[in-house]
Amino acid sequence: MLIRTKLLLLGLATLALPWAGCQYVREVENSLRVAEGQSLLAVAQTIATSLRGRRDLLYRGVDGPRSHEPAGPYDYVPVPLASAPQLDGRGDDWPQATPTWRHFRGSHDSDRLEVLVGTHERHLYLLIVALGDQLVLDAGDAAALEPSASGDRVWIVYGTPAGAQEQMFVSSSSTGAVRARRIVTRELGRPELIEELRVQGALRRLDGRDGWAMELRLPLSMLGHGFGVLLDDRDRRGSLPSSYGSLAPRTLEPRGHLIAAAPELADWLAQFASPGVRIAAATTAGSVLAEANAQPVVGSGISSSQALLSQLYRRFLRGSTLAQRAAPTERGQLDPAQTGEAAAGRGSTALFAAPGQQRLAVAAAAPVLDSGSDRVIAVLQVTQTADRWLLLRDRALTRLLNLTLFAVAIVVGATLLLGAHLAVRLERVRRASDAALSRDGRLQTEFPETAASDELGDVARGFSSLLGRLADYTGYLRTLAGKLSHEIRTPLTIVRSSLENLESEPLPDSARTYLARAREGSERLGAIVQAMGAATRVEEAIRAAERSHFDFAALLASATQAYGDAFPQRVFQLEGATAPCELHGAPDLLLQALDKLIDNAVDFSPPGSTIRLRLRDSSDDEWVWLEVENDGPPLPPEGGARLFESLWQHRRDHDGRPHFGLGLYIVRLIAEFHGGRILAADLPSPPGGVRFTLGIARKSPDL
Amino acid sequence: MKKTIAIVEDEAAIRDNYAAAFTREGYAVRSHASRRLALQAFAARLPDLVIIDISLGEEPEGGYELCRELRARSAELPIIFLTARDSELDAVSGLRLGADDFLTKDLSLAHLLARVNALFRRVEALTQPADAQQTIHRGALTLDGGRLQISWNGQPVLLSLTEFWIVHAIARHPGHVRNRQQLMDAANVVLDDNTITSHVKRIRRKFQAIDPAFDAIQTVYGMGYRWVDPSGN
Repeated sequence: MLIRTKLLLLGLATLALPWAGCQYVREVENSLRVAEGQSLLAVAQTIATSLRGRRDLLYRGVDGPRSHEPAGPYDYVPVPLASAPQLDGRGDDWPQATPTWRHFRGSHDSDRLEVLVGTHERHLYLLIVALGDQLVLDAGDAAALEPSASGDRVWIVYGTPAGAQEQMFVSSSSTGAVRARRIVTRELGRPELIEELRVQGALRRLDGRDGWAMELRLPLSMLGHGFGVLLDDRDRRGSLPSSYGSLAPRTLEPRGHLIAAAPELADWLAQFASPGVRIAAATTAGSVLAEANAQPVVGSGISSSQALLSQLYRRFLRGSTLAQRAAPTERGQLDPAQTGEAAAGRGSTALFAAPGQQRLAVAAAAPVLDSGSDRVIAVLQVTQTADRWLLLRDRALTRLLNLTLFAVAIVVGATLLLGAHLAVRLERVRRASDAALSRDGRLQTEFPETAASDELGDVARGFSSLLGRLADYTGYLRTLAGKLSHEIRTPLTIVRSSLENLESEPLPDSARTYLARAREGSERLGAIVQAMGAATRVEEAIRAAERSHFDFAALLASATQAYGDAFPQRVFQLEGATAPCELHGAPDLLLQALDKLIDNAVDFSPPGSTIRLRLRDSSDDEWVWLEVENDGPPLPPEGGARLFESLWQHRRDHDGRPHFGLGLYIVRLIAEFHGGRILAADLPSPPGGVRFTLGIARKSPDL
Repeated sequence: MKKTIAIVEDEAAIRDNYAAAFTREGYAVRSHASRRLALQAFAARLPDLVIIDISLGEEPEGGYELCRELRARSAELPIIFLTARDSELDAVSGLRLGADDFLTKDLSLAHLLARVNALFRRVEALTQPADAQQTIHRGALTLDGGRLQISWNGQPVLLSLTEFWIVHAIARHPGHVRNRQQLMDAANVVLDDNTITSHVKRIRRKFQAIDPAFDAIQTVYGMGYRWVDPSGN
C-alpha cells in the first residue's frame, strides 16, 4: 500500500473523534436528565409537602369520607377538558379514550346509560348517552310534576358546598336545549320546582342507532362532594320508568361522589408553574384533579441552519440509555406505575416519550400525605418537557461536531500533506538511487535529503556514504592501472637496461636467441605499461589543458584525411563539415578522443566497410554533435552504461595489442572536459551498426 | 682525458646498468644513491655531465633540488633528468630549473648514449665558431646544427635537446607535415602522443616568450606539425 494511502486511512481514523464526542454528549445528556429528574422530584416533594393535609384544597367537600380512596364504580372523576365542549348533544369534542366513563345497565339488556364528566375552567360538563333507548320527550307545557306528562328524565343529585343535598332533573319537550329544574321541598313536604338557570344543556338523538345524548354544563361552585346521575327511562310518556344510574332508585340518594379538586387547587398549583413545567395533582388512582400547565419551550435559540445540522447530528444520538415510557394516552390519567409508586408513599421519576414525537418529558411524582398520618391522599406530579436538554444538547452537539469535523479536516489534510511530502521525498531518493550510476558510467555521489534529520535522512545519508565509498573504490580501480604502470616502469627499466648491457657482452648464439626473446617480451611489457597509463596521462593532460578557439570542422576534415591514410582498409566519410564550426576547447584532446572513437570503430567494423563521421551543428542548439557510425556488431546489452567506464571492455577477438577498456573512458573524460557527453546506440537493423555520439557544449563550461 | 659522468639514481640496478653502459662507451662514471651523497662528492669536484633521477629515495623531488644546487654552482654543467613518470615532464615546466634534457626511463641505453654524446657535442661546439654549413635560416629563425642552438630574431631560444631536435625536424622543410613518429625518431625518444604535444606546446611557449606573435609551428590535426614561414620563404 502506498504511504499516501496509509496516511489517508490514518487521517480517516480520526473520524472516531466525532463518534466519541457523540458518546460524550449522550452521557452528558443522560446525566443532565437524571439531575433534572432529581431536581423535579425535589420540586414535586416540596409542593407535595405544602399540600400535606390540604384535603380542602384537593377535594370538594371537606368531609368527603372516601375522597382519598380509589374511585368506586359510582364515583365520578372529571376529565380535565382542553376546551369547553359545544353544548349541542354531540360528543365528538370530548376526549374519547378515557377510563372515566361510567356505565349503567337498565332493565333491558340493550338499555345502557353512559356518563362522562369533565371540567373546564369553572364548569362541570356532563355527557350523558342513553343507548338502545327510544327517546321519550316530556309533554310540552304540562305540569312538570305530573307523571303522565313525563318522558325520559335525567336526575342529578348533588351535595352543595355547604353540605346540603339538592335534587334536580333535566328534561325537554323537544330535542335541542333542555331545561333543568330543581325540586325544593317546602313546608308540609310540598315539592316545588325551581327553574335552575345555572344549568344549560342540549339533547340530541343519536345518528343511525337507537338512543340519545345529552350535554350539560353546571358551574362547579354549586357542587359539593356527593354526586349522582340517574335516568328515568320511560317506554312511553307517562309510563312507569325504569331507573338506572348512580342514585339509589327509590331515595335518589347519591351512591358515589364527585371526586374533583376544590376550585382553588388549579390556581394554587399555578403559582409553582414555570415555563416548560406542568404540575398536576391526581387522586391516588391516578386521575388528574387539577393541573397547572405553562406553555412549553419550543426550539428558541436554534437557528434554522443549526437546526438542520442538529437534525443531522441527532441521528448519531438515537437511543437514550434512560428507560423511556410511552406517555399515558388517556387524558386525565397519570402513568399507572408512577401513580402506584406514589400511592405507596414513594417518589419516583420517569422519562416519557410522546408517541411519534421527538419531544421527551421527564416526570417526577411525589405522594401527598394526610396531616398527622402517613396516608397518601393524592399524587403530585411535576413534568418537565425535555426541550431544554434538547436545546442544550443540540447546541453542544452542533458545536462539538463542527469543531471535530474541522479538526478531522485539518488532521486529514495534514496527514495527506505529510504523505505527499514524504512520497515526494521518497521519490526523490528513489530517483537519485536510480540515477546514481549515470548512463555514461559516472557514479553520482550527490544525494538528496541527506540534510534531513529524520529516518529518511538517515537512509539518504547511508546511501550517500555507500555511494561515496563505491566512488572511492571505483576511483581506486580507475587509477590502479596508472599506478601500476608507474610502479612497473622502474623494474622494467632494470630488465631492459640489463638486457641492453647483456647484448654488449660476448655471448654464444644460443644465448642471443633467448636474449632476443627477452627483449621482445620486455618491449611488449613496455607497451602494456604504456597502455595502462594512458588514462592517467589523459587525466593529467586534461588538468594541464589550455582552451583555445578553433574550427572543429577543419579539424575533422584534416583528421578524416589522416585516418584514411592510417587505415587503408576502411573508407572514411565526413558529412556536415562544410561550414566552419567555431568552438572553444582543447583541439588536441578532442583529436585524441576522436582517435579513440575511430580506433574503436575500426576494431569493430569489418574490413572494407565505411566509417561515417557526421557533424551536426545548428545554431539553435547549444550542443555540437559529432556522430561516428560503423557497421560493426551491436552493443553488448549489459554494457550500455558501462561502455564508458574505466577498465570495462567487450572484445571477442584479440589482436595482440593490449586493451584495458580505457579508450572510451578517455573519450568520456575528454567529453566531460568540454562540458559534453558521449552516448552510444545501436543503429536500426538492417543494416544495423553502432553509432557513437559525442556532444560538445558550444559554450565552454569555464566561460 | 675521459669525460666524467655522474649518475644520481636511488635504484641500484638501474644505476649500475647505466654505469656499465657508460663505462663501456669510454666514460668515467661516478654513481651516487642519494642527493646527500652526490653533493658530498660534487663538493670536491664537479663531473662533466650529470644524470639525475627526479625522485631520490625518500625525496620525491630530490632531483629538482639537486639540479638547482648544481646549477647554482655551474651554469654550463650539462644536466639530464631521468624519470619514471610522464607527468613529471610538465612538472618540470620547460626545464626552468636549468636541465639540458629530460628523458623517461623507457629510453633505450643506445638512445641515452646518443643524448649524452650530443650534449657533450653541444658543450664543445659552444667553444668553437659557428659552422655556416650546419646553420639553417628560416626567416627570423636561425638554427645552428653544430652547436645545437636556435635563435629567433637574433635572440637565443633556450631549448632542451629534445626540443631542439623537434624544431630542427619541423623547420628543415617548411610546409611539410612532420608526424609524431617522425618527430620521435628525430628526437631519439619514445614518447606517446601527449608527450609530443606537450613538447610542442612548450616549444611554442619558449618562442612566444621572445616574440609574442610567434605562430610558425602549425598543428595539422590528425597528422602532425609543420613550419610555416611567416616571411613567405
